[in-house]
Amino acid sequence: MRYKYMQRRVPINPYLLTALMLVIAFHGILLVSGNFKRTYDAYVHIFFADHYRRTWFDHWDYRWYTGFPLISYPPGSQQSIGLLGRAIGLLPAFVVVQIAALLNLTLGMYRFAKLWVSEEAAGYAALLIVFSSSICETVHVFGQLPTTFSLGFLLNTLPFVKRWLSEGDWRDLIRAWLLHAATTAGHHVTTLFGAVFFAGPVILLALVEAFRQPKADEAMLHPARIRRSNIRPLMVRRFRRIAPPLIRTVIYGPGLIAALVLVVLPYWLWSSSDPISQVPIPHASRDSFLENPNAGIVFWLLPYGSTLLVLPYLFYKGFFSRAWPMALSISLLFLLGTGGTTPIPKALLGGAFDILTLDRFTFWATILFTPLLGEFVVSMRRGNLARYLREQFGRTMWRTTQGCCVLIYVGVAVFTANFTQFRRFQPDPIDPAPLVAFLEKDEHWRWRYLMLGFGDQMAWVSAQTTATTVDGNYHSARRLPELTTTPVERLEGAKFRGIPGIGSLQQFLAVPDKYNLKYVFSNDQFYDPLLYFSGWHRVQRLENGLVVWEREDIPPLPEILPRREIPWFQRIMWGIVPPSALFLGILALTASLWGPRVRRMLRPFLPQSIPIIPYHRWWNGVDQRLKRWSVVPMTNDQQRTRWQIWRTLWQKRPRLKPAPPSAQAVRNGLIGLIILGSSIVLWRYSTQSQQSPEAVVLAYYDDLDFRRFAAAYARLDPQTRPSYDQYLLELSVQGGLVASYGKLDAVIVEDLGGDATTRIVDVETRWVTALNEYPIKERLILVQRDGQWYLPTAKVDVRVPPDTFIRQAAIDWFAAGRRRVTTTITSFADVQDRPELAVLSSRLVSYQGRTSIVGEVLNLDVDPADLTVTGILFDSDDRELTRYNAQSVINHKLLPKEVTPFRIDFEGVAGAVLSDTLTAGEFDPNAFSPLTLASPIDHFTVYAKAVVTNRDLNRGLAVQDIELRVDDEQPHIQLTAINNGTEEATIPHILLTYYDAHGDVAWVDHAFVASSIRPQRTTAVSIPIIPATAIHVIQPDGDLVVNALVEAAIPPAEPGYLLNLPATTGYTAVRISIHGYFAEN
Amino acid sequence: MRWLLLLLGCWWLTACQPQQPMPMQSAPTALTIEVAPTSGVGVDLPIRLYVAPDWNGRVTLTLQTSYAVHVQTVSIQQGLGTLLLTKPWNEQRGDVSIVARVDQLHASATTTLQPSAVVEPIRPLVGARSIIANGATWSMVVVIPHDQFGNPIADASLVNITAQRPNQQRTRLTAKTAHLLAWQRLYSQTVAGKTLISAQSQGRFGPQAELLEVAGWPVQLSVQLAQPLPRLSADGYTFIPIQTNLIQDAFGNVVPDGTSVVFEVDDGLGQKRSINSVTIRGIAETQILSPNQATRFTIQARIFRITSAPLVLDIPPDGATDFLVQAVVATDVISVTVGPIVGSLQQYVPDGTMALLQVNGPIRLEQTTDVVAGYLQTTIRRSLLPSGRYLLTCWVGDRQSNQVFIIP
Repeated sequence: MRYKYMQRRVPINPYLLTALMLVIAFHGILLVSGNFKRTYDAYVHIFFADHYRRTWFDHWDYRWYTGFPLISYPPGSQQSIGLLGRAIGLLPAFVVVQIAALLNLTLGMYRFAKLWVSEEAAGYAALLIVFSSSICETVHVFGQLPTTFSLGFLLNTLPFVKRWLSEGDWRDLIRAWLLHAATTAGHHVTTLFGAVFFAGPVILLALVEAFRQPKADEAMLHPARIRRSNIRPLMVRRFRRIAPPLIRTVIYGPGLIAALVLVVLPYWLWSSSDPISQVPIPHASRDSFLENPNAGIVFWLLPYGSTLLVLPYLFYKGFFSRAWPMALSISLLFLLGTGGTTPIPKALLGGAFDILTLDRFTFWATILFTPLLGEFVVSMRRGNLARYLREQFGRTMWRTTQGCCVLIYVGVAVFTANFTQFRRFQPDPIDPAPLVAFLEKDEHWRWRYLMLGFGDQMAWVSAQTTATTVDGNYHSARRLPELTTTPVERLEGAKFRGIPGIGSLQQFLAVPDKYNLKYVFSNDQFYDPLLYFSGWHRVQRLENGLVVWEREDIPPLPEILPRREIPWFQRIMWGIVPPSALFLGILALTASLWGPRVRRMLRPFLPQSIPIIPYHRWWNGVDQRLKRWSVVPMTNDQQRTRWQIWRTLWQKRPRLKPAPPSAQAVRNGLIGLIILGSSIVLWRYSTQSQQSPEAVVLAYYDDLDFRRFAAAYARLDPQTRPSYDQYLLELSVQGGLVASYGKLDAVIVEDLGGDATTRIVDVETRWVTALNEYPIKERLILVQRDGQWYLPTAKVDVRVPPDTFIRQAAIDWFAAGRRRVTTTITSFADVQDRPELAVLSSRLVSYQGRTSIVGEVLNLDVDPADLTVTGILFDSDDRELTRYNAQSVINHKLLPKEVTPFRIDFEGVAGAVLSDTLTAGEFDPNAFSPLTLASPIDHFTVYAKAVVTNRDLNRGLAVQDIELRVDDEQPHIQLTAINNGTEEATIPHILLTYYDAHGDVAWVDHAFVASSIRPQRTTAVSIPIIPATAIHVIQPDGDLVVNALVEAAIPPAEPGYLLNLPATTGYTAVRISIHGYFAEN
Repeated sequence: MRWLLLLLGCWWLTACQPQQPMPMQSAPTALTIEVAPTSGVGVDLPIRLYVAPDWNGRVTLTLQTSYAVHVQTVSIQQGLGTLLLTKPWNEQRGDVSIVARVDQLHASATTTLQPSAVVEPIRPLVGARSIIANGATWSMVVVIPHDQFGNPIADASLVNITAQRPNQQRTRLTAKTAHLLAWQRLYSQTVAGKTLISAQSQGRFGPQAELLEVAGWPVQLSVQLAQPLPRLSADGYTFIPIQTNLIQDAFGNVVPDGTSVVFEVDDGLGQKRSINSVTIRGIAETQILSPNQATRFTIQARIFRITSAPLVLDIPPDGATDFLVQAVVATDVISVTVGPIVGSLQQYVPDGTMALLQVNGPIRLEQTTDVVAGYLQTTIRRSLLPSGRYLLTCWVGDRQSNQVFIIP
C-alpha cells in the first residue's frame, strides 16, 4: 500500500461550532456553579481520582469496605481527574474533565449523525445533544462522568468504523481500534453494549450499502423474476458486493474485542477470579413505571423529555430511511428501557435483568434518537412538516409551533439540569473539615468510622482523609458478608432499604469491635435511637452540625491491614495502559490535524509502502471468479422493481390540498379550544379526586409527614380546631420515638360508612423507626362542611404538672484521668479502672427458632459502668461457632450496684438467606437472619466487660400502676411510665426480666415507649407476656468471664421480685426496669 | 572520548586479572573462647578467641542475649582474636550464650550480665484499683525496680512499700524482688476512702499510687417520708416525697454517691410501682404520685438484694363531693357535660384528671376524657348509637354519677 495524502479543507459546520460553544456556556456554567455536587455519582469518581492522585499504581484502597480493589472499575476518567487534580485540585479537575467529555461527545454526535442523516441535520443533532434532557440528567443529576467520557469516544469511533468497512483504509481501522481502546478505558460497558447497539447498526449499514451498490464492472442486468437459471448468479453478485465489508468486519471484530479485553485486563481477571456474588441492589429502573411513577419520571420521562412528543415522527423517519438499522437498535433499546413496566425486558435479558440498571438503555436510545431529531428540525424548518403546517394552519401557527418546540426542548433541558434543585436527592452540603479534624485529633484514625445520613457526600468526605470506614459508595466492591448479602447500597442510607438496610446496620452497630468501628458521624437523627440503644453515646456536636457517636472498649486497628494482592504486571498495566489508551485515542481522533505535518516531516524516513496484510492478490483472484459466476443470462434484463412496497404505497397516499385562510383560522381556534377544554377537565378531575374522605385523611398525614403544617391545619374541622398557633404549639410538644425519629411508611384508611355529613374511618398509620415499626390505629369521625370533609381535632394533653418549679439533686461524674498535654503515650495513671461486674445468671434458650442467651449482670463497682456483654457459642470440640453482643435488650450504662438483664440474640449475617432478602423490600420488625452453624452448640460463654463511664446515667424514669391483665386469653403487663426527673425522656425503654421457680432468668423482653414523656407526666404502656412454654432451654448455665475479683461480695439475700406472675404464664415473677434516651443531654 | 574508553578498558582488564594466591596455612585444630563469667550491663565485655595453631582468618561468633541473637565475624591474627561486647548488646541483663565457629570447629561459653543499680522512678502498680473497706478484701501492689537500661534489678532486692490509709494510719510492707518483680498484698481496713501508696528501693523513689477503699453492701436500709408532715391525699395529682435513711455498710461507711436504689411500691389496689433513684451523700430520695382513690401504700427501698423494712402510708380520700352529669341529644350529636367536679376544698380537680364515660344501652360505648377547668365536656356522634334508652355513667376516681338519655 502506498501512502496517499490529500489534504481537504472542509468548512466547519456552523451548528457544530455553536454547539461546542453552548456546551461551555450551558453545561460549563452549571458545572462551575457546583451543580455536580448534588449528583449521585460525581463524588464517587472524585474519590477514586483521589486514590490515583495519592497512589497511582496501588490497586488497593483501605478507606472503604475495610479495603477494596480499584481494578473493579475502569479508571480512564478518574485517572484523568487524578492527574489534573495534582495541578488544580480534584473538584476543578472534575469540572474540566466533564466539560472536555461533553465537547468530545458533541463532536462525536455530529460525526456519528452524518452516517445516518444529512450534513444539516447532523449539525442540528450536535446542537440538540447539548440540550438533550438525557445528557442533562446524566451530567447534572446522576453525575455519571464515565458514561459521557466514554460515549464521546465511541461516537467518534463509529465514522472510522464505517469508513473502514466501506473503503478499507487501514488507517481508519487503526483509529477505530485506538478509539475503542479509549472508550474502554473510560467505561468498558459502553464498549461492550456499544458494539451491539451502536457499532452493530453501522456494520449493518455498511453491508446494506454495499449490498445495494453495484460494482463498477458489474453487468447492469436486473431480472424481474427469480428463476432457477438466475438465482445462483444473483446470489453470487450480491455476495461479491458485500464480501469486502464482510471480510473487513471479520478483521475489525477481533481488534474490538482486544481493545475491550486488554485495556482493562486486570478488571476482567479480577471479575473472573472474584466474581460479584452479591444480592442485587434494587434499582428503580427495573420497576414498573406505572406502579412507581417517580421511577418513571426519573428513568423514562426525563431522559426522553420532549422527544416523546415527536416519537412517532422519529420512528417513521428511522424506518423509512437509510437509518433503519439504527431504528431497529433504537426500538430494542426503547423496549429494554421500559424496565418492569412490560415483561419484555425481563424475557429478553433473563437473569441479567436483576443486575443491570436499565436506565442506560433509555439513555442510549435517546442518543441514537438525536440524529433523527436533527432530521425533524430540518423538516420543521424547510421540509415536509414545515410545508404541511404552513399550508394547513398558516405561517403563524408554523412559527408558533417552531418556537414552542424550541422552548419546550430547552425548557425541559434546563428543568432537568436543575432537577436536583427542585427535588432534593442529597442532604444539605456538609463541610468535611471538622470531621477530618476530629479524625486527625488524638489518633482517632486508628479506629474505623461510619457516616450516617451523608448521601453521596460521604465519598467526598472519605477523600479528605486516610481514615477507614466499613461503609463505601461503590457497591460492586463490597466484600463483607454483612453487606454483600443484602441489597444495601450503603450503610449510610440504610433506612431507605427497609429491614435489610437497618438489619445490616444493626449488625455493625451491635458488634462494632469486630470491625474496630468506634466512631459514627450522624447527620440524620433517625439513627439516634438505634445508636443509643446499641450502647453508643454522643461525644460532641461538630461545627458543621454532625453529631459524633462513640462506642467504648473498641480495640484499635492492627498496624498492618489485610489486602488482596494482584501480580505486579497487573498493577503496572492498570497505571499505564488505560491512560495510554486515552492518549492514543486522542491522537487518533486528532490525526487529521497533526498527521499530515508529521507525515511530511517523516516522509524521508518512511518506506514507500507498508505491507500490512498482502491479501490483494488473493482477493483479486477470488473476485474475478465471483464476477464470472455472477453473470446473469442476457434474456433476463428487465426494468428494476422496487422491493420496499410500503414506500411505494406511502408515496401514493393522497396529498392534502393547501387550506384557505378561513379554514386555517377555524383549525387554529379548534386547537386552542381543545387545549383549554382539556386543561379544565384535568383540573376538575384532580380537585375532585382530592376531596373524598379517604383522600382528605391521606392528604392530612402526608402534610404532617412533610411538615406542611398550615395545609394539615386546614383539613381539621373549622368548628372545633384550636387556633393555628395553638395547633402548632400542641404539635411541638409531641416527641419521642415515633414523632421525632419515625418515618411515615404507610397510611391505610378503611371507610366504615356514615351518613351525608359524617363518615367514620379507621386509620392505621405505620411508622418506621430505626428500632422498630409502629402501627398506630385510630378511629376518626370526619364531618362534612360546605361540601368539604374535615378531620376531627386530635386530643391533646391538658394535664398540668403539680409543681411549678422542681428542685432535684443529682450526681455528676467527670472522667478526665490525669492526662497532661503531651504527645507521648498515655501513662498508666491516666487509664480509668475497669469496673467489677458479676454475671448473676445466664441461660441459652431459643424462641421461635432464634437462639439467645438471657441473664443478668450486676455492677459490683463504685463507678458507673459502660457495659459490653458478649455471648460465645462453642461446639463439643471447644471450637468457637459464633459470637454476638447484647444489643438493645440491655441497659448498657449501669450505676453502681445496678442490675440489668441482657438478651444476646444471635443472628446470622443480615440478609444471608437469599430468599428472605429478595423479597425484603419492606421493613419487617420481626425479621431476623437465622443463625447457621457449622456444628451443633455444646456450650456457651458469657463475657462481660466494662469501662468507667459518666454518660447517659439519667434515672428519672419510673414505672407505676403495674398490673397483670388478660385480654383475649393473652396475658399482658399494663403499666404507666412516669418521668420523675427534670428532663424530657425522649425514648423510654422498659426491660422485663422473667424468672422461673429457681429464681433464674428464664426470659428477657423489652419494649420501647413510642412517645416521649415530659417531666412529671405519664404515659400508659401495655406489653404482652411471651409464655414460658414458647421458650426452649438449650443450656441452663454457661461459663462466665468477667472482671471481678471478689465474687463473694454479692450479698446472699434472696432476690426480690416486683410482680409475681400466675402459674399459667410459666414464670414465677417479673422484674421491670426502665431507663431511657434523653436527647437533650 | 576514545581515551576515556581506553582507560576504562584497561581498568576493567586489571580488575579481572586473577588474585594472588594466598599463602598456604594449616587448618585450625582447636578453638577456645575466653570470657568473664559475669559482668555488669552497660560495661564493655571483652571476648577472646584462641585458634590453634596461630591461625589467621575469620571466626563466626553467635551471641544469644536475653534480648536477641547477634551474629558477628571476628578477625583472627596469629591465632588470637578479640571482640568487645558493646552497646546495645550488653544492655540487657541475663545469660549470654556465645558460640564460635570456624570450619568444622566450634566452641561455646556463657557469661551473665548483671543488672546495675536501681534507678528512679520506683512506680507502684495497684490492682484492683478499688476494694471494699471490710478488712478482708485485698489488692495487689506490684513494683518492678529497674536499672538505667530498664532491666529488673537483681532478685532478692528489697522494696519498701508504704500505704497511708483513709484514717491516716500508715502501713509499711517489705517485699523482695523475685522473678523480676516485687509484690505484696494490701488488705483493706474498715474506713472507706483513698489509700495512697508509695514504694522505694535502695534509696530511690517514685510516684504515688492510689487505692480506693469503698463501702461494702449496706445494712439497715429503711424508708421514711422526706418531709415531716406532707399532705397525703388521693387526688391523683400531688407527689409524696420519700427518702431512705443514711445508707451505710457494716462499718459505718456511707455508700458512694450514685449508688442505685430502687423504691418499690405496692399501692394496695393490686398495682405495683418501681422508681429508680441514686444516693446522694448516702441518702436516696424520690417522689411518688398520689393515687386517685383512697388506699394504703407499702413502700420499700432496695439496693440489689438488700431490702428495707416496709413503710406503710395510708392515703386518705380527697374529700370531693358528687357531681352532675348532663346529656343533651341534638340532631347530630349527644352533648355530654359533667361537673363541676371539685375537690376537698371545693376547688376544681386538677386539669387533666382522667374521667371514664360509659354508655350502656342497645350498644355499649366507653371512652376516657380529661377534665378541664372542673368540667368534662364531650360529644358523641348520634350515628354511632342506634335508637333506644341509654344509661350514661361517669367515673372520676372512685366517684361516679349517672344520667339516662333516649335516642328516638
